[in-house]
Amino acid sequence: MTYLFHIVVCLVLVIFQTAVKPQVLFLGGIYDVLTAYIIYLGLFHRVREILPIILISGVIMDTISGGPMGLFLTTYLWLFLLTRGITRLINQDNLVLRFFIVGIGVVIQTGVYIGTTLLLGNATLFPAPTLNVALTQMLWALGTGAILVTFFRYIHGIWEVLLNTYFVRESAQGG
Amino acid sequence: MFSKKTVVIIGVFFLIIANILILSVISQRYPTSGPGGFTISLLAPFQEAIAGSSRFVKGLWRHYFNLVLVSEENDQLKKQLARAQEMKNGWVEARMANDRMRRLMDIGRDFSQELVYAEVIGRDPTAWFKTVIINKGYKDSVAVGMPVLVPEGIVGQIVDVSGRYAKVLLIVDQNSAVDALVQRTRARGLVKGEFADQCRLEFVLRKEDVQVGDAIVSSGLDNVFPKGLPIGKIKEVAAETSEMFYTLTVVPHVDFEKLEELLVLRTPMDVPPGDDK
Repeated sequence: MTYLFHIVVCLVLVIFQTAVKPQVLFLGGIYDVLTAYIIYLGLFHRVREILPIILISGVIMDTISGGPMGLFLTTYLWLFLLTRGITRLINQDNLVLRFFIVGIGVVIQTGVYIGTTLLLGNATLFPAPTLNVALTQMLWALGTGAILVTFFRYIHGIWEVLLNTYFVRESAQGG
Repeated sequence: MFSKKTVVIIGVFFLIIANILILSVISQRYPTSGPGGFTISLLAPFQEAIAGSSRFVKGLWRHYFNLVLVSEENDQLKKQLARAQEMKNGWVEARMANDRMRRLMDIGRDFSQELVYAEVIGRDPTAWFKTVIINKGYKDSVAVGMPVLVPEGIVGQIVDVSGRYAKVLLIVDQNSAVDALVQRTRARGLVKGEFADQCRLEFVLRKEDVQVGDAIVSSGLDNVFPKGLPIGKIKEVAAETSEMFYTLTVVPHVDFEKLEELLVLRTPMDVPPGDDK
């Protein structure tokens, strides 16, 4: 059931990014919000829960986007490794960490995108619009990253409560 | 001599006659003074006050109800206005969609091959890549490699197809390339996507004559886009990049932020539309 929850959230976020975000002008510069979800998973969930979700969401994003195949999957794996590494050093509930970690994630993601594009020889080196987009995404991440991570944790908490209330009770009654 | 009963009857008769006579005499005049006038003067102010109050209360009541009715009517009129505006917006949208369709149909006449009408239903999830998802797939005979157009010019090409949907790589994506010509001088080059919804025209020899404002059209040599389709116009000529080639910035005719409906051109392509040379 937890996997189902994560997959549904990932799908909702992908749909939001592809169908809702383009309709809302002020959201045009926002970063890939799945980044925040992957970071949330990295902070608060076990590896066996996270890896299949990273695999699924990475493949979904790779197939729906115009980027080179495997780019999102690679980025999400790096983000996961980064989050795990950081949580070894700093407590996952640290507010300063929560404030900056999505921003750091977005910087890494941007670095991977630009690096890949340069490696493939398709881009001019850092034209001004690239830097504008990167900066805008960074600011969005600093402004909303901590809120999103907290929100994801909150709705997952609600899900856990519902799960325990209904499914566990039903299975107890059935037993 | 007379019975008591007869006396009573006669008495009553005379009383009635006397009463009639008195009333007929009194009713012929309107007293302006005397006890009648005094009574009226005494009572009339109270009557006037009560009548006035009554009128005031009645007026208040009537106005209150009127206000309630007017308020209700106002609410209804507001609702009707909102509905009318909604309908007007719907008609304006329908008219604009109709205009767009007509223009799409118009460009459809330039081609001998079949065109598939499609709508944009999704966009790339990140700002780094430029693709759109359309609502036509292989069940609608859409296949990978087919060119996608709008009346203003080339949009891109199909890069991925499922049953009912397909992914279009826009010409402004960094992975996109279209073989192109400068329309005025027929100088050949390759239009590649750049980041900020613009393209660059590469591999145009320096010996060629190119100017800012020159129109760029597809050459047809890439076997994807038919020859002569508009792409954009030259915005900037950068001379310092290479000794052999120009690097030209091209602004596409298509506004990729406003893509709604588009046409997929089913291959094989044959007739070059509107090629003026």
